Amino acid sequence: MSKQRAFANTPAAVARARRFVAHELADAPSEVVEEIEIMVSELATNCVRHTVTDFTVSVERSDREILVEVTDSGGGMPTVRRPEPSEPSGRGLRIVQELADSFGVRELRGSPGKTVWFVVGLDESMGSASGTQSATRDFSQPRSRRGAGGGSRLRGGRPSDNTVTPEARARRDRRRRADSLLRLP
Amino acid sequence: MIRLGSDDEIDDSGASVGSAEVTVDGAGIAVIKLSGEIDMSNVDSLRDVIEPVVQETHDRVDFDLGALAFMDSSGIALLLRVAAKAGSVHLRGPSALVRRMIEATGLSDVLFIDP
Repeated sequence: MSKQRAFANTPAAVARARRFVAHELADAPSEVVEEIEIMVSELATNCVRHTVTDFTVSVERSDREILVEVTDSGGGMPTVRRPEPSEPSGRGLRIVQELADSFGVRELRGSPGKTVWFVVGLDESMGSASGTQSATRDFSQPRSRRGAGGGSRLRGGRPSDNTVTPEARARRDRRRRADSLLRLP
Repeated sequence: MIRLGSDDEIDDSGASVGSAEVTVDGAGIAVIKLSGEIDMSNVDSLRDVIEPVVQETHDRVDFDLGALAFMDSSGIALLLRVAAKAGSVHLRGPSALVRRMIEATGLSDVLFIDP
């Protein structure tokens, strides 16, 4: 399952983006959806604060993981920051780093902009309610590439990847490269 | 009790709907009960009504988060702005996720989580 939606660059779009992913993940465990809503809210907020164009949110779910991507056409790359308490803002990506099993940023090719993505694993006991969707793609990636410098936690084991399609492998490789774009203070 | 914000289900501006209720408990602590959702679309309006209350009162401000349906880092920013003015800020009834966000961002020494 993969769904994508575009949102106008307005503050109200932040909540709309949350509702979109929550709707698309209605049958996922509620605690996972709540984490994803926070992360989507953080990434959508960054789009609205730092760019002037529309942004898109896509949700893709396999039996084992949920991938969310937020794409905008603004310049600059987001960074994980650790601001002092006297600084009210600047914690969005740090929170994504905490809540996601892995995340990263990749620049768009041929046009300005970037995609910030994150993956949340589903415990095997909570696999897709529609277990017949064996055709869903595996967009998994090695846990050793998780996040940017630790901080997030392992969730469940890493199943073997012997069924990865070429397309999924290409996506994974893109993400491996993208991880290297993350800048840390 | 001072009631701030709005409980309307539909906000014409499309902003998220959150509200704040301010009371003073028996110990003289200002208790601000937040409910609804807090994100970048409504955090400034909430701040505009909360900050004057904080300025004219109390060394310690408690936020009651037990009825809060959603809060992202915009909500944390709101709490930090109040903490910068008040003597101390305590949080009552934060969800496990809010607690995790505060701990992960190293703010446990500024936004005290009451047991």
